[in-house]
Amino acid sequence: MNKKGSLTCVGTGITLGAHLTPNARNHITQADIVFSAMNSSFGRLWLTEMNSNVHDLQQYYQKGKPRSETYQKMVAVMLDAVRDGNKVVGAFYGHPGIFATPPHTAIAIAKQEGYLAQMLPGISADDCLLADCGIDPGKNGCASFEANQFIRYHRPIDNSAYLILWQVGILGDSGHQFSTSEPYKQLLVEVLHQNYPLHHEIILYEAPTLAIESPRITPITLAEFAQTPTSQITTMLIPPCTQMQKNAGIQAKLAQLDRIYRHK
Amino acid sequence: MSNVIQLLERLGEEANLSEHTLENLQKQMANLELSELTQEAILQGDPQALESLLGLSPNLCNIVHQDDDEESDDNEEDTSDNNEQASSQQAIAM
Ligand SMILES: C[S@@+](CC[C@H](N)C(=O)[O-])C[C@H]1O[C@@H](n2cnc3c(N)ncnc32)[C@H](O)[C@@H]1O
Repeated sequence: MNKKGSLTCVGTGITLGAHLTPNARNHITQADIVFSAMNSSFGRLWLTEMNSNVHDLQQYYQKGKPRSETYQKMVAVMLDAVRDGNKVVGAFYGHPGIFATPPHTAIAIAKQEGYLAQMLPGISADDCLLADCGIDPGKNGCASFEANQFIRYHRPIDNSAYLILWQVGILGDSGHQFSTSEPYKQLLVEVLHQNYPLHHEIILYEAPTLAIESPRITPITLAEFAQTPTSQITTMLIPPCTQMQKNAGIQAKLAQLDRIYRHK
Repeated sequence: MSNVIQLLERLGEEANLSEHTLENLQKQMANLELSELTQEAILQGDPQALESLLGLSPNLCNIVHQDDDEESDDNEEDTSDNNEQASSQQAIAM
């Protein structure tokens, strides 16, 4: 038997009013308490129109404070409310499980402790990117990485596929200022240059947070990246620069199999 | 204030902002009795201006993902017990 409290983490999407699923909206309106990590002050107010008991998780951020501490606090306050027997909703912008640590951690702990806990998907930044930039990840393949992790580790890159890099606007943010600067961005250029020419065209993308804005799609060359302004919500899209290489051995085997099985 | 949020929500719900003629938007804003400056910020598509007109404080941080920078710096000082915890938390996060 599950204990009385519950935790549901929902995604509110990127653009206010445009992306919230009916299911997520119902969870928000019916919750005893909603914890919010929205992408704008308008989003926070919007939630308070759906539920009068909204607790804003933004307050735990502080310049100079490691985000790991902020996330631990976010998890702790959500779990405390669950343990008090409340129907708790964590409302996170975008998809609550895509590049979002606290919902995953809180749900795992709540389940371990015997509470009902679940995640409901939302429309994520990359959903908007694919739609606005007209890209089907099925065409060439598409890989996603967090930009800091991408430069700190050796990651094999397939430059015949699309590459999406998240959080390029906080590259190397060791001082916890939630921003980046030119020398850190130049390191990303250096890493990417191992697989892409400097004149390769890349895209910096920002989906609208409000419907009164338009998507910002900024094509630049890789060489220009360090000097181009970025923000916390910038996502980098790198189109392929080479053709897919045929796997001749497997293609020959496939042809052989076809000859055997197609005529049966 | 609540009027503005309702308008923003409605604009988000609409099939396509470009279908939303300027005249129609102006009519909606007039009906809601929004101040001229607020109407201007909406027409300009300027969230920062709108935010300051409404006296809202902007988000300090929109990042909710733990990158491994902080995680591995923490690990270096951790005991092995904590290390295990950190790596299992990271496994959950990924
Ligand atoms: C911590 S992640 C949160 C992602 C969110 N959970 C989602 O589903 O989109 C933050 C990163 O998401 C991307 N992002 C967030 N908002 C965005 C937007 N409006 N346009 C483009 N990318 C965005 C950026 O790469 C940003 O650094």
